Amino acid sequence: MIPLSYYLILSGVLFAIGMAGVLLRRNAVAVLLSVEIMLNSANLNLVAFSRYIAPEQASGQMFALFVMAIGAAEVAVGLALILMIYRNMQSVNLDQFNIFKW
Amino acid sequence: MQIEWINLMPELMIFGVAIVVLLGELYLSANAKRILGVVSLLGILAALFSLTSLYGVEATEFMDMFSIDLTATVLKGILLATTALVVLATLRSRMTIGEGEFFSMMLFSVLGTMFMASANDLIMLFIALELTVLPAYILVGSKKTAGSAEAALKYFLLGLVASVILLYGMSLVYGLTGQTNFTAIANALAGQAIEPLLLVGMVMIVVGLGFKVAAVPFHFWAPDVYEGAPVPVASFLAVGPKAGGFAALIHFFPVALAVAAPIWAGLFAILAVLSMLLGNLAALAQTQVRRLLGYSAVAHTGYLLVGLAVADSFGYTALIFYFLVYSLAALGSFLVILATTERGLGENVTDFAGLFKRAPMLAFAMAIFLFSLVGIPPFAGFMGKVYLFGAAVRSDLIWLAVIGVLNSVVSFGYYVTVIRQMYLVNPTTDDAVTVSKPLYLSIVLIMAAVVFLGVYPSAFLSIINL
Repeated sequence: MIPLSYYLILSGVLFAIGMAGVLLRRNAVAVLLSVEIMLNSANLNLVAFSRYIAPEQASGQMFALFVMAIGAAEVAVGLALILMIYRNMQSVNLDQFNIFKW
Repeated sequence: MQIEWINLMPELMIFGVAIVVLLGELYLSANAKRILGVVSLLGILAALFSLTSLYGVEATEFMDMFSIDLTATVLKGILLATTALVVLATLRSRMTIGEGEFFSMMLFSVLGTMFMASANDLIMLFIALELTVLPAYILVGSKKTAGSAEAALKYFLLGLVASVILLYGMSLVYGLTGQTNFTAIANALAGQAIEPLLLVGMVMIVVGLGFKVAAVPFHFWAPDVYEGAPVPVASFLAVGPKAGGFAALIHFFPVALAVAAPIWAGLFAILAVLSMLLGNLAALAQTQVRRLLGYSAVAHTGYLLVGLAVADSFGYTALIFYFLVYSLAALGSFLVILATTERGLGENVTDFAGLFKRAPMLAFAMAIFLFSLVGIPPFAGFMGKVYLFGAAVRSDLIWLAVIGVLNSVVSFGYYVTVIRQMYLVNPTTDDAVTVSKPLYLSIVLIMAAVVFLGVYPSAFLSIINL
């Protein structure tokens, strides 16, 4: 069987890739996608821990299922919000949203 | 598994009303929609009433996922009371979206916060948190202006990242213990050495929840959202989601991570100092009233975190009392801004010039709320700070109390500029500013509560057994 640490390294790498995307991409949709990668890295953690640490209970897998549902809701709200903003501002480039300074 | 549905009555009522109001928006005529606000208000009051029957009840539902205890019940009471005041104040407001949409989104967010206050399980906590913030994102973006769009986008993206960091931290805690229930996590951790992975998970949870309560250095969204969101929404955000964040902090850390108490207490002490300092100093430079209140909210998060840095029951009760006091004063000042902006006044500090002559009652109310935020006796903010910093001194955190008091003195500097404009500067016109009756009633009720709690705080403190 593949050791647990492999899963944890993969999830850590996914989390880092997602975080890099959030910090570097300027398009709101791309940032949303990067956050989804981070969400799935946490999901991978939950499922792997559930299999290796507490196989008699499925609470980690259940947690992952709920997270998927919530992720879908987040994307629905987020895309609707981005669509509305695009209609009003003709842009979803984060650099152009700079009315508020500090 | 037997579920005592009576223990879930307040949540069920809010859920039912939220659905009814949402359907009402869909099926009622434009004229009939005006009753939706009244329906929401009655629903919240009914939920508040059914909550009083839960006072003193200790129980858990849904296989220990949902706990009914004194802290949760009191926080829900504060939340429902302040939300009722928001609904009352906005009954006659011109909405940026349909009334039904506005009120049902608000009710769903409140529902999420109520579940957060009672969450006793990581899964429940995460779902409740998302239910709290998703409607809030929609509300913030509900106005078709550049400011609202920017605020919504920042709030949404930063909130999303915070949620994911929180979730990752939760997954690490789950991985170390194999449990999602708070009590079971505490049992699994008891007596063991603190592993580095637990620290990483804990810090990630602090970061995630720190975003939600707008603690420095995770506060970037707060001033933007308070400034950019429509005013009724901003007044709701000042009370609603923040209550959820603090409820989660009070429930999760002392119960589940009791073993690492000194470490997270130290973390919260650092966050408290940073939030107080940066919030107050940045507020000094602001000229827009809502942005000023946004930074003041960051500073108040700092004061409230002192209660968590103390990390004993005195700290938590003082935190809850100060939260009530703060949310009343902050809500009141936002409602005064709502009243003036509805009559076309601007939102800069100078736009408040001579408000005393144009609307004596509004100016008087605003002055009381700001004095309460500073912590000047005899208003409620003073007693709140006395208990909060008293709890810090009692646990030998005298330096934290001293920083808090010094910060309160600094904060006087920016609140007083607003008061000076209202009372000492002459207005450009003498037109009276009129206020709609429900809004007026709401402001008067808050004013009465702020004065009453300042003079007679034991009325509330006896409820939370301090």
